[in-house]
Amino acid sequence: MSQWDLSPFYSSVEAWEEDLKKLPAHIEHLASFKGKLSDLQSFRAFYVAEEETNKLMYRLYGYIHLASDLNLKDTVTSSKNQQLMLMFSDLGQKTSFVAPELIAMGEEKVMSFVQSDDFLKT
Amino acid sequence: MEKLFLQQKHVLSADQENLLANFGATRSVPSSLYQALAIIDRQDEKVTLSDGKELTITQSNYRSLLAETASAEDRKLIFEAAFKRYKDNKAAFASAYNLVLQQLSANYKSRNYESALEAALFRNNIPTSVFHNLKDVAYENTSHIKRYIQLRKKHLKLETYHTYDRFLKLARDDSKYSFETARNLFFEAIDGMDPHYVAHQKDALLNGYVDAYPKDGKRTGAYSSGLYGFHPYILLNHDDTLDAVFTLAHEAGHSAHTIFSNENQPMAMADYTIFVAEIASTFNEHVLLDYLIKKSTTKEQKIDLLEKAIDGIMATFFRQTLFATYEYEANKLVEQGVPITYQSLSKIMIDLYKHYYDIDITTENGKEYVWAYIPHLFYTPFYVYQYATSYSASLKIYDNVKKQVPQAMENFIGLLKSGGSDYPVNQAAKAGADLTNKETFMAVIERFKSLVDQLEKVLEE
Repeated sequence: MSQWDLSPFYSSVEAWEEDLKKLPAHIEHLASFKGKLSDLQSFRAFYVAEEETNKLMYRLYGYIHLASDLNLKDTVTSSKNQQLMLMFSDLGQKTSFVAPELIAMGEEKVMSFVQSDDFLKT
Repeated sequence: MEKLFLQQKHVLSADQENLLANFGATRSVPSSLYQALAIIDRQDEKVTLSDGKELTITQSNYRSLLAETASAEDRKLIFEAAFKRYKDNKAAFASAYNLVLQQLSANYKSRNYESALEAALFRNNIPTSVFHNLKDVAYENTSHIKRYIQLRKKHLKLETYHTYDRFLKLARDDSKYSFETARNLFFEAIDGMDPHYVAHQKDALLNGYVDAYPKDGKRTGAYSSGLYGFHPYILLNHDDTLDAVFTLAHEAGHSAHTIFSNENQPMAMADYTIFVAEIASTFNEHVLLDYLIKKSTTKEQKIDLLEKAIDGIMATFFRQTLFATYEYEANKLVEQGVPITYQSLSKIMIDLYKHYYDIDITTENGKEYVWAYIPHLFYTPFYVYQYATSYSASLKIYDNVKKQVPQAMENFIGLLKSGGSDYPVNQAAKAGADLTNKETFMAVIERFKSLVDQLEKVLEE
């Protein structure tokens, strides 16, 4: 057996497509934290939500990028790959508020938030 | 998050950041311009060889053609066809590169850095002394390169040695290695090393996680793809050659690194930089090479392996450092207000090739435009030096392990486990390779000298 088994990600492209439908809600949820990071509760909630979104993204990305690399001529997988990339760039744009917001809060405050919570510490 | 605040000194006020952001879209212009010039608008040249055979010379076939072509006249034709694009468009390429340099300059000045180099290295908190140590050690130790070139010239029976003769082989060992054979050979090479290390190398190559052979439509080349929460996958295009055995060992090193990191780090800290990634992968190449040299029985095999080891250092250490030095010198021209033209860029390369290899590249039609041939210089400035630093670090670490320096292997595994939880130079130092110390780079020079000595001995036997 010298071929990939992609079933640890999804059993089929259909299962991948089902999961993709969940991504936009994740993105909107993260975007809703804009202007709220200076509050400890929302700060924590944001990073918990971000980790959940990352887990979903890794699974979606893992499957489709490997599947399309196995056959670049397959237009179905390559267009789905592009579709996912567009959603990633949407995510990047809608969470671009994070770095400036943290800098505006100042290192002292951000680090005190991080130190106050076991989840954030890691 | 600490990294964000480390950069704070170089983050400007909201107004100023906004102003700079308006120029954001112009940043990708040098890359797209280069792509247009070098790839999209490229017309592949046709040549007629001395036996009457007509060939189309492309970016992907010219190296293997040069390796297989016995006639010096034909090799000249092939080389010139491959480099014609850069020669014909030298002014346009120089203009595109000037844009790269001017952007680097505008960026470092706007963001309060001392130089373009400092700004580029700052992202991973790499001291500029690391870059200078590498550059200086390579520059001061080129005598063995010249000795190696003379040795090649003599045994390949060449009248003149050209830069493109580096693809010729001193010996041909046509042994074939199937994927299964290659995998077993690598397992034999690591046999007896730290059990945890061996276990993860084997995990990396488990069935289902390696796609071994080329197929129609499959992506070319090789990679290891690691995502947090999942077992890493390896893509190969295994062609049964000795090179393919090394590629397998290299990619297994990446996957094992991912497994160690993911096991020991939380999601946010697991991702490692290319700086440490290439330490994990090239370490395996050293292990495999040493094992194969020890195991080799025929003169042909010995020559083939020694040449491979030497060419590895030539390509990864010296050549990449030469290009990094070119980048440094070109940026210096901008700092000094010297106009950037194809002449001034070529001048840097002509001097460096003369110094490193004792070859006058103006005698090779097109070679002085080699700065236009390397896409990394346009796409990702101050990137290629990392190939040389990582190679030096892994060689030093492997040396420590071989000499049974106490804790050497444990410290290396510590690096593999640490993922992206620390800055790369600290990670390497903890693993036994202090890149702020010139000695680490000198270890590569020592190894290079010893390999050339060994090759000379076998060739003269």
